Amino acid sequence: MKRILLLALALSACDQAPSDRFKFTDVAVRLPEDAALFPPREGAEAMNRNCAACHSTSMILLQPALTTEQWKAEIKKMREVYKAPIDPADEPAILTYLEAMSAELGPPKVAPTR
Amino acid sequence: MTIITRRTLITSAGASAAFVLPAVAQRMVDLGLPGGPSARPMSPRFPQKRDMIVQRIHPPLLETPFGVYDRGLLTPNDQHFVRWHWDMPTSIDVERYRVAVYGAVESALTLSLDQVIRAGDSVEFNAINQCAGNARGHFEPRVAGAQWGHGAMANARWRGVRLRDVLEKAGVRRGARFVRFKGLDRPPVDGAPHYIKSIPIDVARADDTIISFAMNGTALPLLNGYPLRVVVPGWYSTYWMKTLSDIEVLTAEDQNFWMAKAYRVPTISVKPGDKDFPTKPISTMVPRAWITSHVDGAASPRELRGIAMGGDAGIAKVELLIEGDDRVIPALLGTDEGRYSFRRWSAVLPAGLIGERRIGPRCTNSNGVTQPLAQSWNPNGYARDGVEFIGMTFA
Repeated sequence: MKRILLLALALSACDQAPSDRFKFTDVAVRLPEDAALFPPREGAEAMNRNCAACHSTSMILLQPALTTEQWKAEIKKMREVYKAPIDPADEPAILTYLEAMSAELGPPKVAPTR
Repeated sequence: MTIITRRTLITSAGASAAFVLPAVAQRMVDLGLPGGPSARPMSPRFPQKRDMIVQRIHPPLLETPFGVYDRGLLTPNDQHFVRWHWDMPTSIDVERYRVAVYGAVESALTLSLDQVIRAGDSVEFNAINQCAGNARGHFEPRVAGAQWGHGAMANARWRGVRLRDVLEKAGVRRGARFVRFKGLDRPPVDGAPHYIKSIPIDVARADDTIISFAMNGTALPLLNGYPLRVVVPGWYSTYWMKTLSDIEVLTAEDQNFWMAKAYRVPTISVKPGDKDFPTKPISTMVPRAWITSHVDGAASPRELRGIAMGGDAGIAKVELLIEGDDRVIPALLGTDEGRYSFRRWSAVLPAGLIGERRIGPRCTNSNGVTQPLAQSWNPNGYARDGVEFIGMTFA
């Protein structure tokens, strides 16, 4: 029984189809641009200077409430792994912004009990 | 997931400061992420795509709206989710496109598109492409990363040529252990690690590991990897390299950042705050199931339907569970469209349910792996596995 099942699976995965009729065409697309800046609050200018060139601001704005330690780890990863040219002088202002953002979300909601 | 307007968004507490919205009304969805932010725009529109949840414009992170999964087992190409780590190519010149095969091979090759797709017979099968971090936004406690709802997954009928047939053109040398892929995306900053990923040689040589040139009968959208994408059915999409440019045969375990540091899962059960636990590269997917016929908060449904996946195996059964109720309700399974495909299920709820109940489908795959009742947790929000309960009210 098991052997029959395996054979059936193998057959369905080996549905031969000629590829020589497939035609590729040149493709060029224009991606939407994202000019959005960080919403104003203390540190927004430092955020715009350092955290909006490689990715949209939404990548940061949509994060859940993170602790200061978690935000510091993110900044470290961006700088050390992804080579983001973050100005060390701007780092305190960046942290201030991120902390205020997380504080506004409040403590994480507790999971429903089962 | 509920559709909300900008007006309801800006009047809902706590959500307003997190968004910069243009003056015109834009359609938003609420992903129901615990603690928020939970609202996402359905704009702007991307090339070769229609309605998508825009998690990030640059580089694109586009989520499939959940209602799509109820409309058909195959996700339409123009609503197949999108995830790029770095800047993606915006044009493909068919004549100049090349795939380089090198490393531990007898003869390094540079292949044209036609040479790749004629390397062997083409095969076609359904397979679910699921981001390792699908539904990361539902992890509790929450974790950093792309804050996906449940829509970082899509099921398509992939057609392609076996990777092993392409490898054989170059001749794999003895001692080969892994095969590494690279695509045409590029980091925006010098020195940042290119997105490259590797799979074990036996997986690379498997019957159904392919270089795909068509999904659902047509060429791939560029956002999904046109013209060639690696498809490793049963494995998370982190290995499904888009706009494939390089195939490198390795004789040792890959030490690059995306294998040695990122996309790793604990080998033991961990809880928030744990440190220094052993990890391994994420690999095969686990069974999952969702209700698609109703959304959270539905009133007095009698029959439910949804989709299930077996992960790296077929589906043995799907059962409905009701929190606080010992009954296990077997679901009726739809047509088997292949072990790597979504499969439909439906079930009639027992009579006499009263009040607010949480109900969820539990899938068991043909390897005997069953979804846990509670979600397991890991610090990167990968490989969500537990039963997805949603709330319903019965009068």
